[in-house]
Formats: sequence, structure tokens, C-alpha cells
Amino acid sequence: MKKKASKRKKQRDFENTLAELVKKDDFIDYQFEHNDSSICLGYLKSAIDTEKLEKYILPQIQQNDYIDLNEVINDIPITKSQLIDDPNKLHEKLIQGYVFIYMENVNPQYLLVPIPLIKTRQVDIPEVEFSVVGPKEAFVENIDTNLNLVRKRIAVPELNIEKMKVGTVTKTKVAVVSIEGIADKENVRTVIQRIKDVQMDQVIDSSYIQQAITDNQNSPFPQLLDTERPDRIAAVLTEGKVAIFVDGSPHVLIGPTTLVEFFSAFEDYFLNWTLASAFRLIRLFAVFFSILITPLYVAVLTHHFELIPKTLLGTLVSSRTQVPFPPILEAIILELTIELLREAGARLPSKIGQTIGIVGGIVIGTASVEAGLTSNVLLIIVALAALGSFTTPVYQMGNTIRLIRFPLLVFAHIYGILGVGICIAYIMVHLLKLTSLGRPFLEPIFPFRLTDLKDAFIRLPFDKQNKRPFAVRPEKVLRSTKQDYDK
Amino acid sequence: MPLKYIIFFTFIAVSIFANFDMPKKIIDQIRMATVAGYDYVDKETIQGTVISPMFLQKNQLMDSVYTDTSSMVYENRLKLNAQASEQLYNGKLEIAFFNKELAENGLRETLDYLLRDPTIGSRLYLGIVEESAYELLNSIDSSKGAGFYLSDLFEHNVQHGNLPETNLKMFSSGLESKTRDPFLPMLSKEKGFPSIESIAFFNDDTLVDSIPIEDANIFKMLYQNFNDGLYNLVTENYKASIQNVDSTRDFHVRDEKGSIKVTIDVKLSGVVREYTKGNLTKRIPSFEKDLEKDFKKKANELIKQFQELNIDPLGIEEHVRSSIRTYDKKQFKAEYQTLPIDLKIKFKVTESGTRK
Amino acid sequence: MVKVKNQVPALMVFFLISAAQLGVGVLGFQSVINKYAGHDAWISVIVAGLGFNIIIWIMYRILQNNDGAEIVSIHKFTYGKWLGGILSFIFSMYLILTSVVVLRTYIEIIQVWMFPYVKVWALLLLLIPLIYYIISGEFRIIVGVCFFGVLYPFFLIFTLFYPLKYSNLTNILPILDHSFTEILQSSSLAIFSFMGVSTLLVFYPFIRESRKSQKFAHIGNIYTTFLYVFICLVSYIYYNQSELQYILWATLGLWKIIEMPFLARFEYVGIATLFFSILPNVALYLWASTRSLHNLFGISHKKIAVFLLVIVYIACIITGGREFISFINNMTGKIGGILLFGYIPILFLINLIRRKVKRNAS
Repeated sequence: MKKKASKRKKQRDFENTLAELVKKDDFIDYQFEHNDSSICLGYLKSAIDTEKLEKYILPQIQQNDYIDLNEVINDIPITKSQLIDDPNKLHEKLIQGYVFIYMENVNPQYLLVPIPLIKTRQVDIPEVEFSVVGPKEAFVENIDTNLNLVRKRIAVPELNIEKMKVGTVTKTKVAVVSIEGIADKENVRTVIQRIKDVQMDQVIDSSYIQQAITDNQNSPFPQLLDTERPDRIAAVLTEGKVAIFVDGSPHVLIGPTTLVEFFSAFEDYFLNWTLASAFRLIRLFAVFFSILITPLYVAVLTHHFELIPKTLLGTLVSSRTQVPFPPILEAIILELTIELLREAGARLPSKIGQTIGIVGGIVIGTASVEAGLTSNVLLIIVALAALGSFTTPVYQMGNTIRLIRFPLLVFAHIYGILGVGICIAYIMVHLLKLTSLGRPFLEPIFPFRLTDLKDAFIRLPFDKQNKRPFAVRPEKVLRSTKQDYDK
Repeated sequence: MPLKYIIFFTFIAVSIFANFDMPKKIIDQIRMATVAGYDYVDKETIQGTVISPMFLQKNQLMDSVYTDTSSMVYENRLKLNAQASEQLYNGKLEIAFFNKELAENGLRETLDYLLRDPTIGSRLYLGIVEESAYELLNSIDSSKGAGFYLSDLFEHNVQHGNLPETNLKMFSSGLESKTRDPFLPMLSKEKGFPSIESIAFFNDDTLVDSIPIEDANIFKMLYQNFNDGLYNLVTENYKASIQNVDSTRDFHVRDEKGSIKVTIDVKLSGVVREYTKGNLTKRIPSFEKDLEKDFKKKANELIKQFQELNIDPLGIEEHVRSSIRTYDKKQFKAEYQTLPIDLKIKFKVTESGTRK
Repeated sequence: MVKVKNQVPALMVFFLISAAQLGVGVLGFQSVINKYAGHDAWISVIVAGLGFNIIIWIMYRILQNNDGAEIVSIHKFTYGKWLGGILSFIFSMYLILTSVVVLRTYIEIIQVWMFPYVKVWALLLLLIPLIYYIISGEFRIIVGVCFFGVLYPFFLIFTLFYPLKYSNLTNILPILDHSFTEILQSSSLAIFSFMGVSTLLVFYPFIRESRKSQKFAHIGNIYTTFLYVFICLVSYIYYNQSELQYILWATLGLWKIIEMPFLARFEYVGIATLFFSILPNVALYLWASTRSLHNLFGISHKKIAVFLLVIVYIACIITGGREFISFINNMTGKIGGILLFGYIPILFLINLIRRKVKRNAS
């Protein structure tokens, strides 16, 4: 009696679920009548791979006359098929890309076959961190592909992948990757703990995780490095850092990181160390130039004309004679113009974006100088500053650099060079206070570590790089010992 | 937590807004005085002239001359501002002139303004004008602008010519120093253009004497080390001109039983540019002798002249003070005019150009 | 006890000591210390530097004898709760005074050289949050600021070679033309430029392996001495002594002669750069004062910091004028001299006796 009642209840639940599913317009179900039995099959069309369905499941069911679902399992060549009793779970599973097969039986069970449709991009060349030399692979949106790209570079048993799901709605897969025996356990623990503590309904991209687990949310400086290059991830993993993969994001996060790391392009490691060091220094100079040049222009022209050498005086003054605005307004207008161009270029399709860049740069610039709205000297300076900010290899840091110019401009207008100094002092103290996963952000400058300077402002040759950076507290400091080679 | 941030940003915002109306010196909304001239009117009054360039487009400029009389320099500035279209600033002052009459009445009071203003650089050139500074400044018509024209004139004369190193700092050093006297270049209008005519020597802050600029190379070689000088030798038999004169000078002071002996050791070397008597290479040793003799004679005359005037632009007293511990100011002052000063000259001709 | 996490390496003592010493004194000490020794006053700087090495040695003896305690607990142990408390209070008041003097003098320089019309109260509103931002945090931040405060203005040394072209070596000759007493008298005037070492008594427990740090403290002091002597020598051959009588900030005067192809006048850049040297100075003094008051009264560090900054703010606004500023500069120098050369040795002796007595009693 009891059995019957439960069976009836199940039947009712099943019918309810079906009725609910039928309301969805892409639910499809079939019924196959055979001699001895009738098999029922249902799925959501948008969730499954129809090709697999037609190839592996339908032929089996159409041709054979099954009595029991267990027979069906054996005939379908797809792994992870499962039998469940509870019809209430069906809905959830169908959404995840399962096909259910049902037979009216004594004990009604539902066979679930997973054939989800996963469309991913092909592994492509890196766009943000493009490099002429070196590997040309970039991460894609699929976490398994991404992990594979790293795993094939570091095929060692020590590679530790900790998977978890974040986001109450999206249930995004997140993987924390590190190399056991090299990466500091505390760093790994910190990352895992922070990711577990994340309270969000959705995690669409790795930047969500980045903002959620960062040390200081209010800082304009990114405290975790993100990269789209699998080779870079492989390299930093062997340095003892921790990488965070997020499903659906082609960018992978690295921590703990330091300020100088944001200015090192991965290409630096593919070039001879002298060239790489020179380029790195040029890049750092470009950053300082980019941050300081417009504020200094405003400071000098507003307060300290004494500083201008006499040979430059005529050029500067006569370029400004027609301009009706004070230097600060002039500078802010031009800086905003550049920002507008950048935003417009970023929002538009790439072909139109390029056109906008050229039209904006040439036409607006020339026109505004000729109309006497801006001085041509400032136009050059602002354009160079913008150029300088784009040399930063990490896109997020480039944004920061462009942004911190604006407070500097205001300070320069009010307090001249002193204002620039005070504002830099604020930034300096802020950077001193920043940490990345609890490790000081300004390392190796402060706390001062001579050994870590080998890969900071300049990159010394590889035989000088025999120690891992102390900033990440690696468990094994020496990169390789003699025994490693002998093995 | 938010309270902290609110206070933080309020402070900064208040700080910015409170100082927002602080006077600014926006480069195209001010007039930069590049040259100033001061003329003696009477004991209480000076006439101040200032030239400020107005920069037009395409590297052109127009000089405006402002002039007025007053009793103090700063007061004068106030009056000039009443004439100027924008506020006049000193920050780019390149050169300042005093006329001879003013210098003969003492410069200390006029100079105070230049030294006290923090915006005036120490590299400001100073000069004396024989007639009227106002007229000298008015006579310049150059696309460079009067200030830059005059400072360039001084600069190349200091580097390659006979003009010894001079600027505001060095003049005030000599002025304040108790052991040396200052000097300044003196200009006058020659064919309508300003030209450096002589070097004026001061006793404390009053002008007492001058030597023509042609002879100033002797003074320059005794006064400082330098390496791009010029020396002309005229004897009965021949004339010669020497360039790129590289000179070093040393003072040797000895105390011989209470009487001080000063020796000035000058070493010169140079390249012959002109020689009127044929083959030189054979006669180099005797030629060098002639040069030494000529230099020694002229230098001795110059030093005698200083001693007679009781001025010390070479800083002989400074060298005595710094070398002799028993130095006594009164005693030295009494002895100075009769102090024996030896000259040791060594002239070396290094090259003779493309001819023998 | 201070946690190991909050401690800094022994090497950092070098930067702490140098940053504490190099402050506003650098800009104008030359025309102060030559009062007695004239052109030989640079020797006085060396003498003062050596004197401070001895003081640092005594300080380390006191601190090590008391097992790495700081000044407040040493005072408490030596003099008992009340007398010790009063002395600690006076000590922290002295630290506040110094920070006010440094900050006010720097603002005066800004007023004279850069912005004559600046509203001081408004400018301070910009600086006070910055100082709070530094001293409210961990000790690590203050050390970082000191580190950059020593490192960044370092390049200014190279600018001092420039005025040599316009210098006369005869200005400092003959060497040792003044009596030893005169040189010593001038040394006492140089104390103001060195007295930052007094903060050592407060930050000592924050040093990891503090016993090893003594040599860095001495090196730091020698480095400052070297800098001062160098600046002093350059100034004394650039200016003659009678000229110096009229000059207020001789170091800034040295920069006035510098001209580079892209920069006609250096002193404005110099003043702005020296902000990075003034900032750690003020921050370290105030932090030390905050810390001692925190140890003395047990009120939270941040609350005291806010309170002290209000005091500094008010003090900087109500003071002003060259005469008064030079008066408080001299006075602070004298108090510093009495404290460091008078009181510290006495404290050392009393503390030693006190420890002996206590050991015998127990």
C-alpha cells in the first residue's frame, strides 16, 4: 500500500514538473512506443548538444526495446549518466544540460544523461598583452581550457588546484592554483579563505573576485595582477605566487604582487637582459612623465614662471597668448578630451574606434589650437602623457595612472610645485599602507630588499635570478639546486 | 569609518577652496621685467626704468619701457605698475644697470632690494652705465628683447672675452667682504648700440676707477682661472695675437719676519693666431720671453694702480688673511699701498696654427 | 610588548635616525652656527656629530640595561610613578614642541619663498590629515616615510656641486683659526640640527634584534654629520663670513645660482623636494610624542594623535613672524641641548644606581 502511495505521489510530482517544463518554450519531449514498453525522453533544447543526442542517445532508444533503465545506461556511451528517484530534481538537472529518460516501471526512475552544450572560443593570440616574441596563446573563457593551458606548461604532481564555487546564483567555478612546496601556504590559505568569504550572487568575471578579495577596496591601485598569458601564469607560479582562475573570464589573477610588477611586461623575459632592463626603465620613466608632466606644466605656468629658462619663455608665453583660460582649465579640458576619445574608442567597434582616434587626435587637436582654445605646447604635453600612460603593460594600472593625474592637477593649480609634492606624499603614504594578500605592496623598495631588486626596475640576467622573490615568502628560496638538475 | 573619510575630504576641500583666490602668476597675465636700470636724479631720488617683453605669436616680441622717479626701488616699482598693463614681476630679471653717478654715490642701498627679493636669481648680471641707464635701455632694438639681448651680450663676453665672471652673487660677495672689493662691467652707447667699454672698480660700494675692456684680460687672468682668453702683443719689431689662452693663477703669501710677501704665479698657454714676422717656430723661446715681459709690465702697472687707489679687487688681502695666521687687519691696511707684490709669469705657446 | 609583526629590521634605524635629524635645520643652520667659530664652524658640526655619537651610545646603554623598555617605563622604574610620569610628560611635550617648530619653520619658508599670500590655516588643513594618515597607522608606515625621506632628497647632494664654480676656497682658510672654546660654543648651536635622535628612546622597542641596531644608529648619525659638514663646507666657501650675516637660508641661497637647460631656478624644486624630508621629521616627532603619552596614560593611540594634531594645528596658526620663529628655534635647540647632553647622562647614572639598589634589595 505504502509503496503504491509513494508511487502515486511520485507520478504526480513528475507530472507537475513536466507541466511546469512544458511552459518553457524550448522544452521538448518524445515518447517512443515499443512492443513491451514505452520510453519517454525530454530535454531543454537550449541547454543540450543536439548533435550528441542524435548520435548517441536517440538511435539506442529507437532501435532497442528496453525493459529496464539500467540497460539503457550500459548502451549509451556517455559518462556520468545517473539514475535518480526524485522527480523534483529533474528541473534543475535539465537546466544544466541533462537529458532525462523515463520508463513507466514498477519503481519509476529517471535516467539523466549529461550532454550539455559548451560553446567556447578557440585559444587565440593575446590581445591586451601582445608580444612579438614568445608564446602566442591567451586564456579563453572556459576554466578547463585555461587550466589545461597552464598544466601543460607545469606538468608536475606538485601543481595544486583547489576548486570551489562562488556566487549564490551563478555558482561560478573558481580555481586557486599554486605549486606545493614553493608557494607559501599562508598565501594560499589567505586566498582560499577570502574567496570562501565572498558574499555575492554573481561572479561574471575574475575582476569581481579581484574586487571582492582585494586588501583595500578604496584604493585606486589594483592589488592583484591580472594577465591573459598562460606563460606568465606558469612563470609566476614557479616564483611561488598564487593564481586565481575564474570560469567565464579570460583573465587570471596573480597574488601577492608588488607595484613594480605592474610595470614589467612579460616580454621583458624574452629579450636579452640589457635590452629588457632599458625598456623597463623607459616604461617607468614614461609612467612618471605621464603622471607628472601636466601637473608640473600647470604648476610652473600658474605659480613659478621663474623656473622657465629664458630660451623657452617666448615659446611658452606666445603659445598661450590667445588662450582665454587659465592653465588648469586648459589642462583639464585637454585631459578630458583625451579621456573622451579613449572611452569612445573603447566603446565603438574596433574599426570605427580607430577612425575616431585619428579624427579626434588630429582634427580636434589642430582645430582647438587654431581656434585659440588651447596652447599647442600643452597639446603636445597632454598627448605625450597619454602615450606614456598606455605604455603600462597592465591595463588596470594604466587606468590608475590616468586617474591620479586629476587630483595632482588641482593641487598643482592651488599650491604649485609644493602642491604636487604634497599630493605625491599622499600617494606615497597610501602606497606604503597598501598590501597585497597581506604582503607589502611597495616591496622591494620598502621594505628594502636588495635581492629582490634583481627583477624590479631592471631585470638582471637569469643566472642572477637564482632566488625566488622574497616578497611572496616562497617555501623554497633557491630556484633550483644541483640535485634538481641531476634528477 | 565614513566619518573619518568625510572629515578627511572636508579638510582637503576647505584647504583648496580657502587658498583658491591666492594670487597667481599665470605666465601670460603678468609682465616679466627682464632688465632694470637705475639712474641718479638727486641725493634722495632715483629714476627706475624697467623693460618687459610682450610676447606676440610666432616668437615675436615687443618691448615696453616703463620709467619713473622715486626715492626707493620698491616705491618705484609701485609707480611703474601704475603704467604697466599687467603686474610687473622680477622673477625673470636678467640684468640690472646703475648709472655711473649712482655708483659713485654708493650702490648698497639700491642693491638691497635685489638681494632681498627671493624671486631674483643670483645669476642676475649687474652693470654700470656711463651716461644714462634709461637711454641705454631705450636704445636697444632687438627681436630677442632687451633683457635677453643684454644678458647674452654679457654671457659670451664672460665665456670667451675679457669680462671676468660677474653676477649679483659675486658682486654682493665682494661688497660684503671685508677683504676684497667688487668690480662691475661698465657700458656705454657706441654708435647707438650698448657695448661693454670698461671695468669699473669699487671701494666698498662706491665707484672709484675703471680700466678699458681691452686691458681687462690682464685683470681677468690675475683674478680667475679661465681657458678661452685672448692676448695681443705689440712690440717695436712685430705684432702677435694669441688665442685660447688657458690661464691658471696662484697666490703665494709668505710671512718673512713680520713683513708679508705676496707672489702671484700666473701660468698661461695659448695658440698663436697672428704673427707679423714670418717664421715663428724658431723663435718661440724668445717670443715667450717677450710675452712674459709684456704681461708682467702690464700686470705690475695694474696692481700699482689698485694700490694707489687703496682698493683690492684681486682679493690680495683675502689671500693674506687665509694664509697667515698672524694676519692683523689694521697692520695690513697700513702696509697695503706699499706691499711688494711679485709676479711670476710663465707663458707657453702650444701651437702656431697651420704655419710654421 | 611590541609584536614581532610590527617590528622593523635593525637596518631601518639608520633611516629613522637620519630622517629624524635631517629636517628644517638643513636649510639655514650655516648662518646660525658661525656665531662663535666663524669659518671654522664646520668643525663644530663634526664635534657636534661626534658628541651625538656618544649620546646615542649612552641611550643604547640605558635602553639595553632596561631590556628594551622605552622612555616612559624607564622613567617609571627610575623615579617612581609620579616623578617619572611628570618627566615623561615633559619629554613628550618637548617632542611636540619640536614638531611644531619644524612644521612652522617650513611653512615660513613657503611663505617667504613661494607663496607670500598663502593662508597658513588652510595649508595646514592639507598637511594635518597627511600626518594623521601616517602616524595613525602601524610603525612600519612611519619607517617607510622616513626611508623615502632619506632616499628621495638624497639627489639634492649633487646640486651642491654646482655652486663650487662660484666659490673661493680662501673663505674657509686658515683652518682652525678659532680657539677650541669658540668651536665648542658653535657646536652647542648645531645641536638643533641633530636632536632628532631623542626619538630613539621611544621607537627602540619597535626594532627587531634591537641590540644589533646600535651600529646602524651610529652610521645614521655619521651620515647626517657628513651631510651637514658637506653642506656647511660648500656654504662657507661659497659665501664669505660677513656675507653670511645677512643671509637667512644659506642652503636655499646656494640653489639660487643653479641654472640648468630645462630649469632656470632650482630653489623652488628644492623646497618642494625638502617636503619629503620635513614630513618624516614632523611625523616621527609626533608619533613619538603620541606613543609616549599613550604609554603614560593608556588612552588609545589614535585619540591622542587627533588631540596632538589639534594642538600642533593651533600652535602653528598662532605663531608667526621671523623674530618669533627664530626665537622658538633657538629655544628648542637649547632645550634639546639640555635634554640630550644634560639630562640623558644623568638619567643613565640614576638608572644605573637604581638598578644596583634594586638588585641588592632583592
